Amino acid sequence: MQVTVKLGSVLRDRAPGFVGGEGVVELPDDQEARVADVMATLGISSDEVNVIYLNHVFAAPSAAVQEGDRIALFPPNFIHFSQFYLRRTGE
Amino acid sequence: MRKLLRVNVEDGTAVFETLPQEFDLLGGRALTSTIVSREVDAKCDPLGPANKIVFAPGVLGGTSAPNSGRLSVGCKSPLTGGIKEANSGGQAAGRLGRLGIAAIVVEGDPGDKKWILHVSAEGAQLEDGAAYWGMSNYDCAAALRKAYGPNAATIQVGPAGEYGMLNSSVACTDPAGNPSRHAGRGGVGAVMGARGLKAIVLDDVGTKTRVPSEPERFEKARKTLVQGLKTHPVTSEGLTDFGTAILVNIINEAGGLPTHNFHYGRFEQAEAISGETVHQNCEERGGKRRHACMTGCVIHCSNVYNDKEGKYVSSGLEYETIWALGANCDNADIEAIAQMDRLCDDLGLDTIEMGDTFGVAMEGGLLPWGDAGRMIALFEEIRHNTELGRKIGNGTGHCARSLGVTHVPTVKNQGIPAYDPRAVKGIGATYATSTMGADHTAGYAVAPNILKVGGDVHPLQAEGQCTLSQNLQEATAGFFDSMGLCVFLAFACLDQPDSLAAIPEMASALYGVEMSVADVIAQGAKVLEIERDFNTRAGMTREDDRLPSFFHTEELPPHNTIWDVPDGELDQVCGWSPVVELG
Repeated sequence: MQVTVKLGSVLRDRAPGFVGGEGVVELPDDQEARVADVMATLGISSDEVNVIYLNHVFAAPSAAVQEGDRIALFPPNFIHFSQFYLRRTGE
Repeated sequence: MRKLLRVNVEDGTAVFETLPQEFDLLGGRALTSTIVSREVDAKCDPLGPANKIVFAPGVLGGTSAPNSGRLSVGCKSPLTGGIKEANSGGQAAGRLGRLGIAAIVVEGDPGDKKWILHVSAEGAQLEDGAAYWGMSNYDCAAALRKAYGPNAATIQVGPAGEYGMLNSSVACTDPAGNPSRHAGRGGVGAVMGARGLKAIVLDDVGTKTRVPSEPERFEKARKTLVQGLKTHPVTSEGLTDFGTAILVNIINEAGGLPTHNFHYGRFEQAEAISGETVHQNCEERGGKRRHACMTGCVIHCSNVYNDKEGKYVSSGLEYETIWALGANCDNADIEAIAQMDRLCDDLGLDTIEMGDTFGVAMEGGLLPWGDAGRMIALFEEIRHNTELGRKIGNGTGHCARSLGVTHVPTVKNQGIPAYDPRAVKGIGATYATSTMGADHTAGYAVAPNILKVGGDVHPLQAEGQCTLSQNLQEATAGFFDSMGLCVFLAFACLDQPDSLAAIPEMASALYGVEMSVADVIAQGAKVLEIERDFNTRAGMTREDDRLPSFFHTEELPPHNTIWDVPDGELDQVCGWSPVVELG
């Protein structure tokens, strides 16, 4: 299963092969995948990520992902209002 | 004891008055809005002789409080027809505070006279400014430094303000002397220009940082806030390393980046104009990151952007500017955006209003979508005050009407900023109900947990947005716009109750009074009440507290949502009585 991942600022160091912070991540087909699995594949721990968008919707690491999804990961130093008053999908 | 400086451009006088006792604890927006509300006829022509322009540092201006150098500029707005407070960073507010000035009120009919107001520890006087009239902001700032010495910090208008254009800013110089900090919104530059006042020169030689009534108490609170700012990841790393432009990618991923004049919520070429790209270009070209726009800033969110040859182009390439002149116009050329940012600063134009104007101009066929070269050329029309220049220099609403465009992103005739209200509905409620017209800073501070807004509010749902917005607007008016503090302090104060409490504690120690967090929020609510009263007297009705109709009918991809916050809830925020259906 393939998903597209967009990384913000300092997280880009984890995927030097990405262009403009964006690339494709391959996940095993034989299991239910979550955003956390995508993060693990890139070696990114949960405390390194503050804001997650799954197909443009604010999401939690536990949100399920499917073939072709777009996942954007941003670190804690990001300014954004979403973390303070948005409900995350997957929780 | 702080003073009020009353400047009459008709008879050429500048007189210090004792600040009325009831104004003792007022600063920034609270003071400008109170003075405008009392002294300016709400029905007056904003560019006529009855309007006044008021400049005020915040309550904490001129103290050693971090990031306390925001300057409030107040008047009746020629763009919205309502009350206006636009604020700016730069050096001016700190200077005014140290000079013991709570506010400068400029009034009178100048006739043909052009003035420079010179203020120093020795006093204040109006001087002949004819030689500076007609200069662009960068030339004017350099000429004033040459004439008044390197210590001169200035507040000035560019050509757009001189021409009385409804999109015109008031510029303040930064620590390097560049006029790159602007009270941008609402056409405040035209009001200053209509007073014949080209610039205010502030010299603080011989002055000192304000001494609090209770110095030890003040210092303790100040240290608490500084420590909070230096340890919070947003104010010590994110804003510091990447600036506000970091929002381009995140708002784009959230599906709320207005694109192609608010037709789409995503810009496919966002990466080319992102904070990461700006960051990389700054690194490679000897530009500067971690740049402070005012003395006493501990966040350093600004940058200095150089061209490919390493030559200075502009300072403070902000998210909203990049969005306005970029995504909203289908323009992915970051070099052209930087160049236009410089042109806006130089001519004295608000970048948000300019980007919204280009959006409707492209929709109306005045220029092709994404044509950065043509956009840059149009700035020269403004510089020379041509008919075409006036068409785009008078703001989004004016340009749209002249071209017959009906897809017009404005509230109270002021261009909507960089977050689409159909994807981020809390901000939409702020756009609709702010006394200022569409203004993201009026209710952006995001302190819902502190303000005890219960539970989560999903951005795509209508419920709860108005309560959220109202609380944010009151907190912003109280904590930041009236204290003279940078709104970015909110990110730390949100997570750190001690940092938030340090703000009223500093004000308490400064004046030897007892002020609480609740008092500051109540002050913010009072400011909004004064402003709403002015707007009502100016002729605004509940229909002015609405978003344009296309937001109600056109779905915004990728979420395919519309604006559906009920009018009745907006009315509650604004204090309008409920509509009773008859029959």
